Amino acid sequence: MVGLAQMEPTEKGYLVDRAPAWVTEQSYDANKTSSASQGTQYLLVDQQQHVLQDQKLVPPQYHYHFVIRILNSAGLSQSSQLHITFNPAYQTLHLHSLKIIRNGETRDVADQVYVRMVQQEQQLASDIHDGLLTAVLIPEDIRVGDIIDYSYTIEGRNPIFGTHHFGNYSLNWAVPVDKMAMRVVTDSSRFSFRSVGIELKPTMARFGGLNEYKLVRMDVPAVIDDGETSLEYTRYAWMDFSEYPSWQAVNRWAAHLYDGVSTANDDVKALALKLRQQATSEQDYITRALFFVQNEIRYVGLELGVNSHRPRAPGEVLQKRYGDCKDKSLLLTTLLQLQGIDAWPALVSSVARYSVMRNLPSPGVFDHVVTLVEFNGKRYWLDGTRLYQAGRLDNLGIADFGYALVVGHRNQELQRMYETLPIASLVEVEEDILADAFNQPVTLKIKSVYHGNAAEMRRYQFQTVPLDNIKRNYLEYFSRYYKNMSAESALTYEDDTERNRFVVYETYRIDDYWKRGNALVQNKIFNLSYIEALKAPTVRQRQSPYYLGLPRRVNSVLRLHYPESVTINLDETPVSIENPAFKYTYQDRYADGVYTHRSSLNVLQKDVAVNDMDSFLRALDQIHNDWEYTLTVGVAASVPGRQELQTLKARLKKLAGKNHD
Amino acid sequence: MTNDLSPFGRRWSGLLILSIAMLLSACATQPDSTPPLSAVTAMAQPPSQREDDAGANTCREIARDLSHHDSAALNGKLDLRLILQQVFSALDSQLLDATQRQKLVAQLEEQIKSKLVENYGEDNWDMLRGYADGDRYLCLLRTDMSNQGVSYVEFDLRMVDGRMQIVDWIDLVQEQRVSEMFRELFGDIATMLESSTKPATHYWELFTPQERLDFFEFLKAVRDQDSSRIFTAYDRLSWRFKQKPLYALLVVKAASAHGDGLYQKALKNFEQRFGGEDHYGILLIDLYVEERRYEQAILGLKRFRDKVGADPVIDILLAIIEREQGHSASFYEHCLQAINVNPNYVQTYWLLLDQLVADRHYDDAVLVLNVLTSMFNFALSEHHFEADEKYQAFRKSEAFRAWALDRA
Repeated sequence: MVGLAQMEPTEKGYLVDRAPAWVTEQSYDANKTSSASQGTQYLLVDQQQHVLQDQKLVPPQYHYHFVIRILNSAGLSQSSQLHITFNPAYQTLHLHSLKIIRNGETRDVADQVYVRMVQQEQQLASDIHDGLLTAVLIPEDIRVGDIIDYSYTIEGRNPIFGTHHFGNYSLNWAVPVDKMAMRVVTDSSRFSFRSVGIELKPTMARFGGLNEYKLVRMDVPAVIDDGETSLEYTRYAWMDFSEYPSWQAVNRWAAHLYDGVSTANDDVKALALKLRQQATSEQDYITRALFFVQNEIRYVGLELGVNSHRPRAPGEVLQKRYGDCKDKSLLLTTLLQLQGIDAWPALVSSVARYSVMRNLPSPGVFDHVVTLVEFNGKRYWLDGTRLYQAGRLDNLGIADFGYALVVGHRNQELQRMYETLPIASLVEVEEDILADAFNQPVTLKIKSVYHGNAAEMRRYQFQTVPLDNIKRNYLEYFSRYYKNMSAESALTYEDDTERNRFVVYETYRIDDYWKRGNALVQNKIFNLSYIEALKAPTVRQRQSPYYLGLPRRVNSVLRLHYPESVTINLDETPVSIENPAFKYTYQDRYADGVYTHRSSLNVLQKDVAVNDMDSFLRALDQIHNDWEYTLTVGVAASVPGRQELQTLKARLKKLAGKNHD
Repeated sequence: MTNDLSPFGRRWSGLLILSIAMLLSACATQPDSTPPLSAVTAMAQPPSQREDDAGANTCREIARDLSHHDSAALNGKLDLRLILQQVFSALDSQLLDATQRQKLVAQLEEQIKSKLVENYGEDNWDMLRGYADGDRYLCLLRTDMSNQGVSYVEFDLRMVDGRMQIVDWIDLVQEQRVSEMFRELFGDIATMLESSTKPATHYWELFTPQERLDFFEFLKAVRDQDSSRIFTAYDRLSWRFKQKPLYALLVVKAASAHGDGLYQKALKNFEQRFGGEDHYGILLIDLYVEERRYEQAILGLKRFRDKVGADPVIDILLAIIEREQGHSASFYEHCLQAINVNPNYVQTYWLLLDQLVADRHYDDAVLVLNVLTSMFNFALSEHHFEADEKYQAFRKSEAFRAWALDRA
């Protein structure tokens, strides 16, 4: 043991003792004034860890030392409670000191501070139970101007990760930090370090016969985060370190956790047989197995201890009828493999996504598991946790997590899930505005056809929200644009689960639609299909790319059926507004009393590069003009020759012997 | 042989010559200036189809290129690979090596490009309608009615390197797809060339030297557009070729330039050989009318309308046939139908004007004049009707005098 008393936690759930001997005390400047306007000044953020290869002999220790100054009452309410999170299943919290420094006088309250242990289960909302515990330290008599200096060590590590260590340290925060230090002490020579976001390297030295890596940063400025940015473009920086030499090594680590077929019991085999009997083809078998795992296995993540990363046996999952992403993936993989279909669990990061590539190889980057299926020369990424999926293998909705580590696959490297960005959804909207007369209300009929992910979203909405509420919400939404609007008939829908299409039909009545002048009639056109589809970023003057979401397509046809033929001055030339991020085309037409506006939006990239922001915003402003405009037409009396033509036609009817009509 | 071979051609319609004669007399009163596009233009286009935007736009451009005789612009939209591939496959003989075939094909490509506008580009062309069909777009164009008759051509457009390109087309009157016509023609040429050197393995491959001579003489006559030679050469053609509509159509095409009975003779020949095939109905209308076989003419036009969709030109032709039979009410009914299909088709009104004048419906004739002046902005006045004898009585009518006074 290196410095920490080898003791069991008390009833309190933590220990109060001295810092381990290997810890190097970092100094800080208590007199340094803060130029920041936030409520708390961070004088020191020091993180150190001691990791040896023989973990049984010496458990890993993670030491933290924070010094903050309360600058105002906002800081008082923000920072006077201290939070320390650990997992009691395999970790112990050692509190070393909690000093309150006021006017140069120090009092250490570590022994007497009130600590509330809270099982926060922050992911409970998503049915994940990770067993993490948070110690909330509530020191008394904290005032504005006080310095709070506290340190603690967390001992122990999730045993599932074995002998290879890995981790990362933040190199900047959302607030300024006066001094930021990191240190790793280890007997291992396998460590690699990689700074992400900033070019920095730790220094290496010897310390008590061990390797010591350390880095100190002074006056670290706050990160100005634009928001709405993919993680691969975040302006936050960190230092990654890992003992894993490659992604293959991580893959080998994962492979021994995911041997499903060998653990498939009779129940799993019986299920495979039943699915086989129901299926009309292998492709059908795949989707049946997927839908079984998605819909018949309830999602519950009991990610306690080793089960944070080791899946449960497929038979157990089937028997209990619940499981988390890895449990579901292994069950699905096993069912497919029992049918002779090539399938593998695939580790992905739902947060880092494309940013995974920036990190050093380690298991720590992954937080989700999907299933890769290679079938008929194509690759399919299936997610057992996803609900409301439908359709055939080729028209399922998709999720692009960027990169995946496919466990046990012949390609042991990180694999790009989709070579080109997939089109996640297609929405086709047809709107017909029907008018009997210019002095009558019009009827707006809308048919919206959702494909891919959009169909799944709509299926989710219609299965979880009462139809009346949806109808009211839709009407509320349209009423923001069309005044005097009311629903004319019930909202109806068709769920085409075979083709993964969801069709919604709406009919509304709009009063006072027309504005009439002498011989002119005006009306407003709103291309509502797009208004929610492509939005400007909250921060326009950006330093990081703007995240648009996966490529998607919206096609829209709006037809305005005038009560009679009208004179309309239209430029029927097709217009194309293009930008590296999207392409929007539209064209106006008029024929036989019907004005037709046909348009299409293709979102081509998931991010708008900083250099493209100006043209993106200009193009966006330009296309907004096409999403809301006024049509002005001439009616009857103003159309040259119309009266004469009507008279002639009436006469021709008589000459043709057709007096009756 | 291929150097000047241009089997494109406008077909003519004797019926149209009849009708055009009427129209021309009326058109003689038209002011020279082209009327500005009426504001009513947007009122009654053909029924809108679900149009593919890129296809529809290219289709309109083709109509414009043809109307403006813009050969360069039209050629820019041509992708002849499909057609040339057909020709190339037809030339797959031992006689011509690859280089010779390439050369032949290159000459043909040049010919097509140089002759396309010349053959189709003499009138105003309108886009009748277009149909998206998967990755294709079928673009139906029609010429305006003129003294050269009327043509209907359906262009087959495909997306090539991000642009809609013409890859093939069908002359709907002749029921002739260009790629197929070339394949057949060049296949026969290759066979005939080859037959002189390659031993026949089947009896139908036995060609006499005279057959070959007759065949090439026919092609030369077509090339030279020498109609009398074409007839003689056609008569001498082997049965092998006479059983194909292609050669009879080439004769009709060559004869259409002549009003001396050759055209009727060519049509008669065509009818005798291929008249049983219903789809040639529109081609034979001139013959039907000439021989007063009105029911067949009407049937042919209606079948054609089923094929190309509503079009005022077809209604005008039906009106004329009804008038030929003395069916006045039906004449007006078809004119009304033509107006309903497209009120902006000005020829309908000129035709109506003459007939109303002939029928002494002077008040109604003035209604037509009002439409022509108000809808089409024709600057008509009394003097436009002075030269033509047929308006003499009309000019004296109370209705006309009131109209002329009003216009003065």
